Amino acid sequence: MSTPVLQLDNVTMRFGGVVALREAKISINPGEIFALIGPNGAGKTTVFNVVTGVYQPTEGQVLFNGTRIDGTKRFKITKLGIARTFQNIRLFHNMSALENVMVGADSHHKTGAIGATLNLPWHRKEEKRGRELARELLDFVGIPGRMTETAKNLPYGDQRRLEIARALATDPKLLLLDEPAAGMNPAEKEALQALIRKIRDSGRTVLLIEHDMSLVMGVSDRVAVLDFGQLIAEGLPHEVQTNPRVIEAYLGVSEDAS
Amino acid sequence: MLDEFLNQFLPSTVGGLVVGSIYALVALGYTMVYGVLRLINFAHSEIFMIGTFTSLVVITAIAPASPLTGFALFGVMLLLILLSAAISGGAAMLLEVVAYRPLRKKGATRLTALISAIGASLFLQELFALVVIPWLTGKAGRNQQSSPRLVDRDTVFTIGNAAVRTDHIIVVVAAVVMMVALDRLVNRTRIGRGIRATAQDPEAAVLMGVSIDNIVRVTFLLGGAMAGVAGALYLMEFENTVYNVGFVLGIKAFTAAVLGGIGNLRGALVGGVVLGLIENWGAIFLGSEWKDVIAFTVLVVVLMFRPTGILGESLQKARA
Repeated sequence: MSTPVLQLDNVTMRFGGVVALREAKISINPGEIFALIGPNGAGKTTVFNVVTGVYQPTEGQVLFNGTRIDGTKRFKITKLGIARTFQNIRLFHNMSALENVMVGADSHHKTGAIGATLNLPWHRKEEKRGRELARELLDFVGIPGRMTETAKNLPYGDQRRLEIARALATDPKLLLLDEPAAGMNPAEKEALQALIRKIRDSGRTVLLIEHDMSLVMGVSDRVAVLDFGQLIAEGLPHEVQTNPRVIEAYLGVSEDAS
Repeated sequence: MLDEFLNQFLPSTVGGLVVGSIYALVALGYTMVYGVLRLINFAHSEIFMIGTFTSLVVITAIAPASPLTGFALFGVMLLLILLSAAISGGAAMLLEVVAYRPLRKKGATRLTALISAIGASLFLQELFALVVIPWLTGKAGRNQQSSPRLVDRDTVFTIGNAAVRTDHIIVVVAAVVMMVALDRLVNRTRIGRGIRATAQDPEAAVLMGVSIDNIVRVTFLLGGAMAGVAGALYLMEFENTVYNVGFVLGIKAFTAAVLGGIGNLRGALVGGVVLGLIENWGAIFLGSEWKDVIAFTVLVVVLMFRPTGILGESLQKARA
């Protein structure tokens, strides 16, 4: 078995007295599409924030390709190869679609202020490469015609795609998608499934948070279920679907029901 | 009255454009830092002051026996501008590291940073008055220091009854070149995209691999360098400076930034020029001692009708 791309090793995340994540153990293999599901407030987004370095885990470790990354600066984590999209779309709204993607591509460029000011050949080459990559990625996610449009003027579904393109521009080994299907119509969801598979087939690993069960069941290789900060199930999609604890968590058959 | 106005209109316009160019260059620093950090960097006026003294030292060292012309003038002006930009830019970066970064790291409120800015402003003024200026010039630190004449006040051409002189042209051309360069940098390069991305959504920018610390550093460097250029032009044009030269000019430049729409680079340019023109035109009617009153009255009136400034749009919204 190869080294997992991402490993959460007994990660606990406390905010004051609130435990958002309790001794979470997750291990994601290269090339997998791994979905994280659970009711609202179960700690899914906390997992994303711990992985991308927004939070430092109270206890436990986060390993990326076998190396500890908890405590690493956020922008460096991106450079290591983890990128994400946001539940509530966070594009650079007043930049063009192309520029949004170029910001992602810039993470691997090197020219400093002087090279950029004087427009030195090296900088020009990087700009050109960034622009080409951005074009390819807009094409890859299926919005090639939107290049020059301002991000905020794009239809909702296209904004979601643009966010994915921007994240891909950082050339991630692991891509985190935070509810990518939210607000999409059935046709868009279907296209999204295809896109997620295409991303995996291009050699990346995908960690997905999603509420839409048909999407999760349709696209994931493995599924983990969080409830009140605790992992209550993990396995193949159909196993998880029939797990009584999962059904209970979703339907709220316990005294927690309210 | 009208006669007098018409008679003075063109000369005042020339004067307004010259001083407006200087306001605009300084205003860029306020507006960029505000765009990225939502901070009014009140010590920016001292960064301008440092630029004027850098130029003073250079001019004094060169000590031209008579005003320069041709290539010698071009070379010396270029040297003045580059050195002042470098020293002021460096000072602005240092200022950020000392006065703002520690607060930012500890998550201090914006008000705290503002107090730190005012403190840094006064600190730098006094440091120059008490230590640096006496050491540089050997004269009392609170006195006006005058500079040797670098450029002859020759009329190059006239527009109606307005004489456009060599020094006027130098100020306006240098300012325009700097602003075009900055505009290109912000709108067409990786650094500029980082600055705009950070201004729009710092969280998302970080997660796309943008280092906020780097962006803030570059922002202070660029804003400081512009103030340094303004300092060099100011000294060449007005031929004197003093430890608190930045105070009123800084407030005017800040006014220009707000007038144009704070956070907006082109707004800083528009605001600077508009402010320079209006105070010079108004001075025809009321006398030049009313300049400051006119300037700030205009600010208040404009903001009543357009609270976001003339161009309104901010750095977050700057397009490519």
